[in-house]
Amino acid sequence: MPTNDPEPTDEELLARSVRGDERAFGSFVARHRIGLHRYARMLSRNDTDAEDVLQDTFLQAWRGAHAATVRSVRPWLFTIARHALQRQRLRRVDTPTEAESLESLGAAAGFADADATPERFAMALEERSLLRAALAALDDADREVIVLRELEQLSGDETAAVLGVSLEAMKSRLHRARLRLVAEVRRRLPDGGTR
Amino acid sequence: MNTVIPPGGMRCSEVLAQLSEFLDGGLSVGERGAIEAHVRVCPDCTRFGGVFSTVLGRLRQERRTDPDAGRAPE
Ligand SMILES: [Zn+2]
Repeated sequence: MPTNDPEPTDEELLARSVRGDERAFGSFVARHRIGLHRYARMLSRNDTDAEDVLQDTFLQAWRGAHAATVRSVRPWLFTIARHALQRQRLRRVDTPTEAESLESLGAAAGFADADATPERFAMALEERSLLRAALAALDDADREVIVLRELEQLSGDETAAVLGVSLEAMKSRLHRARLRLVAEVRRRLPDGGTR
Repeated sequence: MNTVIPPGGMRCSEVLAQLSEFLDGGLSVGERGAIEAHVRVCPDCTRFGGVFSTVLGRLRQERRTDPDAGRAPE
């Protein structure tokens, strides 16, 4: 029993991990889990996402520990966690199934709302500032694809190339951005979108 | 529409999913026909299709009337 041993340092635990000692890595994880989870939770949308980031972080740390000498453990770990968060956000943008469902986007845009008529939209849009305000309310990724495709009139292939995604991914993003734009216009209809 | 066999063999959610492709002319003749058959008898899809193309039409009008719309300063 290692009762006389002092607590191993992070560096020692990592060094043992590199030699294949998974229990050492387990101790390392236990030591840093709370802080990293707090960080991931603050920057993720929910607990599931945070847990996913955490797992990704420790997996990359396990691999990375073999590849390089780690000098300052905590900054190193938080850098890995930050990259894991970024990867997760990118996956989200590119993978429609992980994003908000089309049904809920459609509902927000007024699908199945008998009061959301083309006539009301057309009348409201005669006020030029309304469309501007709706565009401004979109997040950057949505506004970007709309500006490139609708206003700058790039082709589908050109837009996809600028965004660095496949044509299919671009189409999916564009469709969702259009639905969100309709939802933003609907929210600005003179009597509030719903009667 | 809650019919057992939805019009055009499509559900509203499928029409909704393909609305952009439909309006952008990206579908096959068969796919277009199915959507058109559905929309003819579905008030929800008719109305929403109208809303969607109204907003897009207005957006395209913007690019004709104001070249700076949505554009960052150069
Ligand atoms: Zn329908």
